[in-house]
Order: sequence, then C-alpha cells, then structure tokens
Amino acid sequence: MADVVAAPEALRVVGRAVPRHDARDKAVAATAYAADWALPGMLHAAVLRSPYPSARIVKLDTARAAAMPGVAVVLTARDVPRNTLATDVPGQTATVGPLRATLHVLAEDRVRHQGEPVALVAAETLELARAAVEAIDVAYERTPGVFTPEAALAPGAPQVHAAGNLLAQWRIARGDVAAALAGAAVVVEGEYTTQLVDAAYLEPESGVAWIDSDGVITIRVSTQVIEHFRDVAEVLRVPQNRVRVIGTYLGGGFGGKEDVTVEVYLGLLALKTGRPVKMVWTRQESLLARAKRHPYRMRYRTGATAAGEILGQQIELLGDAGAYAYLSALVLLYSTVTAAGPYRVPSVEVQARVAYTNNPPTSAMRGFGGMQTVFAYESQMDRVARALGMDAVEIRRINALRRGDRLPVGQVIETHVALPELCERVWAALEPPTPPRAPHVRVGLGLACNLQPYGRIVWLHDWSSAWVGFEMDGSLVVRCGVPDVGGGQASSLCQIAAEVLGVSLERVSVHIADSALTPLAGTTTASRQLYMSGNAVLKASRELREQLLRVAETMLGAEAATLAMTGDLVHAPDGRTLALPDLLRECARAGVPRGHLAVYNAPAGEPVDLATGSGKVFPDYTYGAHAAEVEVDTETGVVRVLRYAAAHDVGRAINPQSVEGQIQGGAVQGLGYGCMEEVLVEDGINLTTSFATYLIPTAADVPDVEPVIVESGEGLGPFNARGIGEPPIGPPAAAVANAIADATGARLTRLPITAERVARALGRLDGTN
Amino acid sequence: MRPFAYASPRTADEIIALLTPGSAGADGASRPLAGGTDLLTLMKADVATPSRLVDIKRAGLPKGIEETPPGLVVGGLTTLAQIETHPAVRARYPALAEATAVAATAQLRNVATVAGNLLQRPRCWYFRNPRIACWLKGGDHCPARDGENQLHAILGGGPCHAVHPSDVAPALVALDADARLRGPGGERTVPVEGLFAAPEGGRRRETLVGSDELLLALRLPPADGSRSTYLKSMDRKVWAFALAGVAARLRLDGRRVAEARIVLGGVAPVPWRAHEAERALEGAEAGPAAWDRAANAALTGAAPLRHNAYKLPLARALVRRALESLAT
Ligand SMILES: Cc1cc2nc3c(=O)[nH]c(=O)nc-3n(C[C@H](O)[C@H](O)[C@H](O)COP(=O)(O)OP(=O)(O)OC[C@H]3O[C@@H](n4cnc5c(N)ncnc54)[C@H](O)[C@@H]3O)c2cc1C
Ligand code: SF4
Repeated sequence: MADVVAAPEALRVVGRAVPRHDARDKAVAATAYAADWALPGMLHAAVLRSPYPSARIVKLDTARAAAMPGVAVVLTARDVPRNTLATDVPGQTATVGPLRATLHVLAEDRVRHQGEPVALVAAETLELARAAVEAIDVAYERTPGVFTPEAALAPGAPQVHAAGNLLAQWRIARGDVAAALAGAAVVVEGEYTTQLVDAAYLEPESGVAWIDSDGVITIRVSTQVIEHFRDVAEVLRVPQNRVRVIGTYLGGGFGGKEDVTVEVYLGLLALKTGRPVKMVWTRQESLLARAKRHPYRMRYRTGATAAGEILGQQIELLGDAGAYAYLSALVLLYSTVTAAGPYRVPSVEVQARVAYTNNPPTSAMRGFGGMQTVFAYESQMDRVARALGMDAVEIRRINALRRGDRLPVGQVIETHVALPELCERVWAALEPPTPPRAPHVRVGLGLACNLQPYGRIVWLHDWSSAWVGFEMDGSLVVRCGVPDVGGGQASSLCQIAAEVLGVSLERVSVHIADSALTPLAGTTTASRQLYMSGNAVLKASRELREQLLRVAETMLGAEAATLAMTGDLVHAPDGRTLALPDLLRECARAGVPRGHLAVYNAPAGEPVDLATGSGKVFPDYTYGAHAAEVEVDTETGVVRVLRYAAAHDVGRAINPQSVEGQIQGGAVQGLGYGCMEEVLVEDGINLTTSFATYLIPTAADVPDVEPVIVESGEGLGPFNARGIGEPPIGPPAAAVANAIADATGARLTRLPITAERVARALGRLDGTN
Repeated sequence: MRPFAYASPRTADEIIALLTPGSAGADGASRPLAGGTDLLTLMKADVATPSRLVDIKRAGLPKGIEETPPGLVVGGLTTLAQIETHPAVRARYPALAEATAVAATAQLRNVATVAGNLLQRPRCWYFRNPRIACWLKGGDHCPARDGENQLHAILGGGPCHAVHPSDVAPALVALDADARLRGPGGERTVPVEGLFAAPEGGRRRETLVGSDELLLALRLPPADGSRSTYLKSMDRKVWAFALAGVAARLRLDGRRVAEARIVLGGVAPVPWRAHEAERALEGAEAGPAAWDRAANAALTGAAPLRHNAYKLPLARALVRRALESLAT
C-alpha cells in the first residue's frame, strides 16, 4: 500500500535557489582560506615524517637542526606535554574486548606507517624549516610489518599495536540466514574489493596559530571540527578555555578534516615560540600521510524467491584501518548497519571486522563506511535480477524498505522511503538509449540505490546551538559554530532565519565556526549540519519571533498568533504594519532581548546490541537512486560514462542549487571512486603521492550529472529536510558496474574499474601471455 | 629541493662549456634548463640533484617553426603549444599536431619545450620515489618487474621496464624527423629514432644524447602525400600519460600501401618502431585485412608483466583504428 506524505507548506526564502553569499567571494578569490592568513613575525612550520611503514626509531638528534640560524624550535615527542592520546574504541566487546586505542602526537620509539610525524620545526622561512627537517639526525631500524588485513589477522602476524591487530568487530544476526538461503529459489554469491582512496580536496591541510593579546592560543584552521580546541588543550595541558579555534571556509573536507590535522602542531609551536606560526601541508604530504577511505573486502550471499523477494543475506566485511584507530570502529559500524541496503531483508547475518596494518591510516571520508557496501549490495541486487530475468527497477520496488519496516539492526523506519519513485525517475531520465557508435562498442544501463544515515549515532546524544538576533536597524545576525566545508552550510542557515523572521536575505549576516564566539554546533560531518544546526537556527528563530511578537502584540493591539513577519515588517490582520526598528526600540525599552540562543537536541537513545537487533542506531536515513549509461569498448576495455542521473529524496530542498551541487559533486566523486582513483600502496610504501599518479576525474571524464530532487517532506531537519552531504557519493561505482554488466555481461567486482580490469573480465587477456 | 647554482649564458658555446665535464666552469652536475616542467619536478622530488642549472632560453637557440619548403624545421625550444597550433604542422604533419595536443595540459604545453619533451625521464613510480634506489637510478634491481607494473613496458623491457612517456617522440619517429645536436665537438644530425636506446649495462638513461650536448632543432622531411595520425589511450580523458599511443603514417599508391610507419608510445622503454607491422603493410592492399595483420604484427615479441597484459589489446586496437582512419 502506498505510503502517504503530507503536502509541503508554502515558503518564501526556503526552497528557492538563492545565490549563496560565499559564492561570489570564492569566484573572485576574495575568500581568505586558512593558508591565505599571515601575521607579523610569523614562523613557518614543517614536519619530519617517517619514510618507513614499520620501524624502530633508534636515534633522533635535533641539535644540528635546532642550531641552524633562523630555526626557532625543533620539537620531538619528548617536548609534547601530553604526547599520547587515548580513546576507547567502540566495538562488540564479547569478541574484541574493551580496547583503548592510542595515538601519538609525534612518534615515540616506533613508527607504524610511512609519513607518520616524527618531529616538528618552526623557522623564519618555509625553506629554512624544510632544510632544518632534513638536518634532523634520525635513524631507523626497520621491523616487519603487515600490509593487508588478512595478513594482520593471521596467526603469528607482527603486531601493529600491543592489544592485537583486530581493531573492532561488529555483528548482526537477524533471522535464520542458513534456512533462508536454503529455501531460496536463487542464491547469488559475490566477493567485492574496494580500494584505498584519498579525499583529494583542493585545499590541503593548513592553518595559522598565534597567542592572542589575552593569552589565548588561537588557531585559524581549515577544519570540519572546531571542537578540536579541546584536543589541543589536552595535548598542551592547558585549560580548555585557553584555546580557541577559528574555522575558515574550507576548500573541501570530505571527512579528511574531521580528525585533527595541523591544529595540535600549530598550538604546540605557537606555545613553545610565543610567535605566530603557519603550517601548510604540501600535496605530497597530504597524499602520503592523511587518513583515507578504508579498502574493504566484502563477501555476500543473497537468496531470493522466484518472484524476486530477497529472503536472506549473509555478509562478511573486512576493512583495513591502517596504522591507527582514528574513526575506524565507527566507520565499520556504518557499514554493518547499511550492509543489506535499503531493502527489507528478513534474515541477515553480518560479520564485520577491521584490522590494523602498517598502511596509511584510514578514517572518515564522505559516506563513512556507508559507501563501500553500496558497491556490494547493489551488484548483488543486479545479479539476483539478472538470474531471475527481472527488471532492475522492479526488483528494487519489490524489496524497497517502507515506513514501519525494520533494518537488520532492529531499527524501525519511521519516515517515508521514496525508493521506487527515485528509481523510476532516474531510469526515465536516461530514455531513450544511446545507440552504439561503432561495432566494437556496447552500451548499457545500470541502476544503483543507497541509504545513508544523516545525523550522528543516537547514543552519542548529539546537539547543536545557535544564536539569532536583530541589530537596531532591523538587520539580522546568526551566530553558529558550523564549519562551512563548501556545501553552503552557512548560507542555508541564513535562509532559515530569514524565512522565520521575515527579513530579506540580504539583511542577514552569519558568523560561523569560532569556538570562542559562536555557539557550538558540532562537527560538519555525518550529513548532520543542515539537520542539526538548521534545526537549532530554526528553533532560535521561532523562539525569537515569539519573543518579539509578544511586544508587537501590545504595540499593534492584535494577538501575537495573528501577526505575520514578512518583508522586514510585522503585519497585523487589519493591514497595519510595524517597522522592525520601531519594534526593536520598544524591545530595548521594555527589556526584552533582541536575540535568542537555542539548543537543538537530536532524538537520543541508548546503545543497542546490534547482534540481537534491538533498536535505533541513527536518527534517520536519506535514500537515493542513480542511473548510469556507459559505453564499453569491447576490444580495449575502456569504459566511458555517457549519461548519468542521480535522484535523492531530500525531504525539502532548503536551497535547490546547493542540493544540486551536492548531488552532482557527490556523483562525480563517486565516479572517480568507481572508475579511476586508487592510492597504490605496496608493502606500506605509497606510490601515488602526486596528482600525476593519483588520478581524479576531470570535467572531460564525467558526463553532465542530471540531478533529480524529490521532496517528500519527510525529513527530521528544518522544514522536513534530510541530509544530502554524503548520500550522493554512494551509488556511482555500482551503477557503472551494473551498466557494464548490462552492456557486456561482464561483472566487475573490484574497484576502480580500469581498462585493465574490464579487458580481463571480457576475456580479452586470455592467451596474451 | 636542494640548493643549486643558476647560470644563464648568452651563447650556445658558453652553455656547452658549462655542461662539459673538465672544461672551465663545468662541475659535472650541470643540467640544461628549458621549460623546467620535468627537470624541476624531478628536483623537487629529490630524484635529480644537479648542482647547477644552465638556462638555455637566453642564448638565441632555435625556437619556433620555420617553413623550409618542402620540409619544416622546429626549434628545440619551441613549446608544445606552438607546435599544436601551427597551421603547417596541422595541415602536413597531423600526427605531430595531434600528439602535442594530447600531451600534458594546456598550461604545461605553454612552457614545455619539444626538446625537453623528448628528453624527459620515465614516469615509473618507483623511479620518481626518492627513497627507492631502483636499477635505473644506479641500484641493482627493478622493483617494477614483479611489483606494481600496470603502467610498464610490454615490449623491449629489461633490465628497466619503464616506458618512454613522450607522445611527441613516436610522432616524430613516424614522420622520419631528424635531430640536430651540438656538443663540444661540433654539430651532428641523427634520425630522431636514433636519440633513444633502452637503458642497459652502465648506461642508465633512455637517450643517446650526451650530457654535454644540446638538442638544437628537429627537421621534418617533406610530407610527400603521406597521411599521419596519433591516437592515445589514457586512464582518464585528458592530462594523463599514455597507457598506449600509436603514431601511424601511410603513403598510399592507389589502394596499395607504398610506405608505412607504425611507432608505439607508452609500451616500451623507447618509442617503439613496429618494423614487423610496417613490413606487413608495405605493398599490401589497404583494408581491414591488412590493418588486422599489422595490428597483430605490431605486438610481435611482446612480453607483458603481471599487471599490464591489457596493453596488448589496447595497442592492437589503436593500431587498427589509426590505420582505418588514415585510409578513409
Ligand atoms: C603533469 C604532467 C603531465 C605530462 N603529461 C605528458 C603527456 O601526456 N605526454 C607527454 O609527452 N609529456 C607529458 N608531460 C611531459 C612534458 O611534456 C615535459 O615535461 C616537457 O615537454 C619537458 O619540456 P621542458 O622544456 O619543460 O623540459 P625541462 O624540464 O626543462 O627539461 C627536461 C630534460 O631535458 C633536458 N633538456 C631540455 N632541453 C634541452 C635541449 N635543448 N638540449 C638538451 N637537453 C635539454 C633537460 O636538461 C632535462 O633533462 C607531462 C608533464 C607533466 C609535469
Ligand atoms: S622500471 Fe626502470 S625506472 Fe622503474 S623501477 Fe624498474 S628500473 Fe627503475
């Protein structure tokens, strides 16, 4: 039975494709990014990094480097007030045991991955700082390492950390999978491999720190998380209120700036030298050492009835965490929860593990573990459909989750799932098919759907806060600690406040991402910022509106509930109006605040036991369907994506232009993941540390992505919006793989889908040796 | 990057004096600097460590394209952008125009010179990694042979398996271009094909151009009714090195192939002249059967490594399609 959704309310500013205030600045290069900052007397910093993936540091002598003229300071682990940071890794304790993961600011006696920071230098110029890094006398003794999760978990493997190489493990067991598969009309088995990829943002990690006149250590940095001021304070052993982080507009984050990057180093160097310090990582450093996306090996067995109903799925996931824990356990949790896809599957068993290796560390990246699994579960859906001779849309329509269904983890789906509509819309968008342009070319269509949580795990008790207030002239100020990673996070907040308080958008200014001066809003991660901070601004604006209308009520002699705020005026039902400055003057006289702080608390819950499938993990999910039309050169294996359409139910598009930007950008990044990108690491040595070898798509490689925005009015965000930051990166790899299968019958199970792999799958390499 | 000295002489003789070991002012580790797009990259990566760069752009060396009917002379300092847009090159030597147009990026082509392009070093990722002392850099083994060799040679490999990265070189070889060189002993002219030799023994470079020699100019013989083209396959549509490239030139006499050149790029340590393919074509009747035979013959002797066998069908298809396009 069709699930009914409510008609959306009519809005004035929200829902319109208004130009973003930050767009012009970026276009004319007026935005002051983190690396654009400079202060008088500023030092420049550089990092000494380990050349080896696994070694003992047998000598580390900084005397010569420190004595070089122009070198202000050289720091090693010994100089760091608190060098070891410990976190409790979540994971099902029955199998892993409670795990304390440690991370060192600077390496102590061991290095565990190539590029691990060993020492820091600050000097008068960048050239001097780099020369001093080279002058540090360091000697290593190489030790055996492990370079695949399989090897890491084998008996007798060298241990990356004392607690063992198994970092985290999650399990779900719902229903009787063995019985479900045994009773299935068709069982499809597949093994899928995904690769290590980099966020590859335009702007590398960068920032400037200084001790401000009040003695506060101030760090202006490109980050997705200004709350890292607490980590800086912990490392420096200073009170948390003595560290301030100012977040800049980012030149991309994609999760790569979710963990600490330069801020701790900058804080240390500023504190030790008393001078401003700048640190900007080179592209090579960024590609070498920054946390990346987890490579996965995934095994799936999927059983379905002859009518195409999925009965059961047995899933094994194994991820590579690299040398340090970072967010791997949570990334794996996302994979575990989403492993069966946006489908109703009565019996599911998931065994998910992530292991330490001596590879570059992996952590958050757009999609956060919800991405790798899409490639597997959507390839499986396609295979089941093919085995049964079913249509790609039909099999998804039959199995799509509906309101009231349960995910394998036990969470009840509480909002509308528009999957069938999304599938039909993208499928229709690619009509009619492109005829092959040559005899050696085949053209095919592929469909892939996904679900991606938005908002943090409910037992993390997420919240955001915002302040909204008027100036005396009727202009409006929004203060909210959101970092804007380029998705229009700040400008959407302006739209929301403008909508509620009836001011024109030009009259709103927004201050973001300052841990000392803006109310904290939490991280710009997990597709949560519009949802969380949008709700905080909505709440602050609504409460402020009530507060002001109580004053207007007496001024206009009409009940507050009958008053409207639009066009910078308060309107009475009889047509009289009140100018905002008059209202604000009256508020000042009456002692009524012209501003208001609100906190939005996300629905919270207790930790659930995944294994028994007991409840809610995420607040809600965003659903998508993508379709790709590809051309396969059957002689050479070269694949070209001809056309692409991507649909998401965003609940409500606050700014359709920003939503389209997220959908198109995500799809393109996902196509890079699917067809091109790979950080190649051989025995822990990264071979792709420049953009000459780490290829990302250019405009010539991707077709126009046709965005399809569906607004069900069913999200938990402001005006029923859903998060759209991460979801669009999920489906492209699977859509392309399914299209290749449609065109040629060849099934690609390993990413990226290069000409080599396609040629191999097509049997073109047989007998060439 | 390590500190280095810089000289900017005004004459070719002064440049050569600075490059010649043992001569006044030379210190044995001077390198000529043209556009710097390869040399500076190698220096930043610590793979090349010259103590002095000798800028050759202020010494009045040949730059630009001179029509010398019925041929053409291209100065060594000519940028790829100049070549790609030159009307005579486009009209008479399309293989060269096409090869330059698909090399690197527009920004790079504005500064990259043709001499520098021919003398660029391999893109092998082991070679470009300063921490790896591979055979070509004086070490005793080639990690690519059994390692990540998807981009490496399928023809003529060993002891080094890196491919010659230039797109321009195969085109010049296919067009029978000559190179004019100048060294301490004077000038010499050799076929462009003769500039290259797979590294072996003590010679761990891909070129026979002496380290004290300057590549002054390239001379293209009359096109003589030949048609030519360059096709390239990459891991992405633009801004990437060739997985395989083919420069092909055909002179047809009615429906018969009177003369053929097939030169492969991206598959061997040098621009790979496919003699067997040329033999298969010469005298044959133009058409699919001949193209197929040539495409197969072009890969004669191929010995792919673990991850690069895909280059065989790729190169074959490129040869076939290049020939097809020339005959229609
Ligand atoms: C990102 C990137 C992508 C690229 N992609 C491609 C591609 O797809 N296809 C392709 O063909 N090339 C490609 N290239 C290579 C590029 O074309 C070369 O770097 C360029 O042509 C070199 O010319 P240059 O003038 O900058 O040489 P330089 O870097 O100045 O010199 C290169 C070498 O030649 C020597 N040299 C230069 N001129 C002379 C001379 N006249 N006589 C003697 N020795 C000389 C130098 O000493 C040095 O050893 C790419 C390069 C980059 C950086
Ligand atoms: S292929 Fe050549 S350049 Fe590459 S590692 Fe081997 S010897 Fe070195």
